Amino acid sequence: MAQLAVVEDNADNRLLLQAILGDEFDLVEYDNGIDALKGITTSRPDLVLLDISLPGMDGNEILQRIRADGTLRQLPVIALTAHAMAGDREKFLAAGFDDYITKPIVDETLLFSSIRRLLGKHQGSSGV
Amino acid sequence: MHSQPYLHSTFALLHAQRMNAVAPVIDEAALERLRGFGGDKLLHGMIELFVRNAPARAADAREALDCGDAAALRSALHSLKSSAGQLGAVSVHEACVAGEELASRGELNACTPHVQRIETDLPLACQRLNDVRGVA
Repeated sequence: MAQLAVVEDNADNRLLLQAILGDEFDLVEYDNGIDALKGITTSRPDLVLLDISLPGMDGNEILQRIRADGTLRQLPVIALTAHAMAGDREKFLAAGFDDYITKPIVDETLLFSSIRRLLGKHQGSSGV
Repeated sequence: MHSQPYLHSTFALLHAQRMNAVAPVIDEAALERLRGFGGDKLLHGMIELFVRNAPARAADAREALDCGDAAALRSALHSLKSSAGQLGAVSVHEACVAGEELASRGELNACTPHVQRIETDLPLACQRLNDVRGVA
């Protein structure tokens, strides 16, 4: 079972993601960026679902640190955010996110298809 | 402690919903969607978290507005927006969207009616959600 790191400060959103994804993936949850970076470095998840507006270290900074780490830089990272204004998608993809999912989550199939696509691509590129 | 204009009577609830005909306090379709994701267990769990945490976020927004702190106001409204949107608290969500956008531009005075709307509609939303969860 693939392991996903969920970095999200809202407990209700973590509960929702566990309900949607928990049967198919092993979810490891973090409610702040510092703990997430430590945990991601040691547990090496297969993919990260990363909220943007986090207290302290925000999602953009976490992404930059992941991309700056030679052992993590290929890790697929999906921005999971309530930032849904015009141009936000392009902005997040240009910043280095692999995909962008908006909250509230209305259609779980979009989330599943994004995760499966990126996991398949990542496993293919890493030779797994 | 921050006081909130909670409305308890059914009359007050119905009156407020009528006055706010543009956006429903709660979109029942959103609740059904959550039931579809995880049954009553998920729905009731999310309601419990929302009712527990959202008033503090609204209070944070009020405090930030009163202090003239646009960044803190934007942060509080963004956080509340996400939860309100997922639970179908449409009027609160709309006020958060509008307020966050204005706060991001530093237009604090224009945020006042949106924060007031949250203070009016959030207790109604919580009341309806508690009804769904079967909490008096």
